[in-house]
Amino acid sequence: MERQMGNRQTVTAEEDARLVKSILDGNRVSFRMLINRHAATVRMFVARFIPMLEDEEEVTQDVFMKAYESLQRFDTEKANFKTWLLRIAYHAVLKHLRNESRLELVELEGLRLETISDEATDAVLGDTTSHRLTLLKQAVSQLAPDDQMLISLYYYDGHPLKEIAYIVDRTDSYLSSRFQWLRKKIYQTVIKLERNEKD
Amino acid sequence: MKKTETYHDEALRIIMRQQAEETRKMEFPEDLADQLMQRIEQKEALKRTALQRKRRWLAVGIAAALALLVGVALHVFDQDVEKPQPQVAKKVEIKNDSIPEKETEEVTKDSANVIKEIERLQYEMPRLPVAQTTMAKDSMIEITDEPPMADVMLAENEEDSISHPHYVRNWEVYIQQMEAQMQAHIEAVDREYNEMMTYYKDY
Repeated sequence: MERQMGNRQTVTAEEDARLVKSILDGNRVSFRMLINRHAATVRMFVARFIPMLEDEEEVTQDVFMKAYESLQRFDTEKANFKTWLLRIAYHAVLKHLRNESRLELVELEGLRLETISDEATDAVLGDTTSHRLTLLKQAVSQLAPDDQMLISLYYYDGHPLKEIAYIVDRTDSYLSSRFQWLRKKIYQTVIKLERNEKD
Repeated sequence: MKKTETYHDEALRIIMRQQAEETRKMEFPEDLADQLMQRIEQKEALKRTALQRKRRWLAVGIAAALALLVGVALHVFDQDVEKPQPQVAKKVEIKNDSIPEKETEEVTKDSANVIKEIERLQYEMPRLPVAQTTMAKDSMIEITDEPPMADVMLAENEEDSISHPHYVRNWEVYIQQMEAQMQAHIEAVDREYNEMMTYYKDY
């Protein structure tokens, strides 16, 4: 099954590469085909963090326009077209949120990672009871938008951390550290929320 | 990063899927591709216009630069042609020492002699018979028929025309020319006079 999915992804990536080459040769119709293939992915990603439809449409269009203008810089060695497109989308969303002043800097201080065990974190983040899911939802919504995007890219879109590092234009080591921090942050928030409920 | 670093975290995956479902329920316009293609067309049309404008300005700039260059070159060239080498106006001086003193004296003497001779003839000419006078006058006219090279403003009285130097522009040239003419004239008049005297003597 996984191999089939992998094969399908490979075929998709090859088709995308062919379409990109066709566009660079001057065939604008191929770009329309690329849009149709990836519009839903980009839209879904953008809409998760930009709920207003008008803004979402604008940002989505900006993502594809940027992609069209930057096609010459697309390198199949670094990533497939879908991942490359998500990279553009990630930065476009961040830029929009920054302009809207909704992006806040989240400090890594105030959380002593050594006091939180990996087992405890795994236990909370793996608890699928409805109550815990509600608390987890609240905890995730309290994260900064760029961190929410990281979580979404990993847990929903299924991108490995290495690909996410490419999308967000960070080093692998940075992303690894960030992810560890994020998981523990979510755990800490859930525990706090539970404590508040009891109080 | 550890190669095996993966986080299952099923609860987080469920939350993400739920959020995606909510997003999927949103109705997106279907014409994203059309809008984008239109936007690309507009952008490329603007680029073409901007490029044409840039090329036009470049052509104007080049033409202006060339015109300026040609103008400067012509100006410089004209200056070189029109302005001759600055020369100090030379005062043309007739140096007396360029002409040998003896020669100058001789010419002056000869000129004075010519003038005396002319005056003598002028006095003596009325005593001659009309025929001789006429002949003299004719010869005079004959001689003076050819105007001197020097510019001479004739006086009202033909006889005064030669004796007044201030009517003559270039007196020295005139003197030299007249010297030759008068010499010939004097010799002719002398011959005739002698012939006449001989004729009267016989009578």
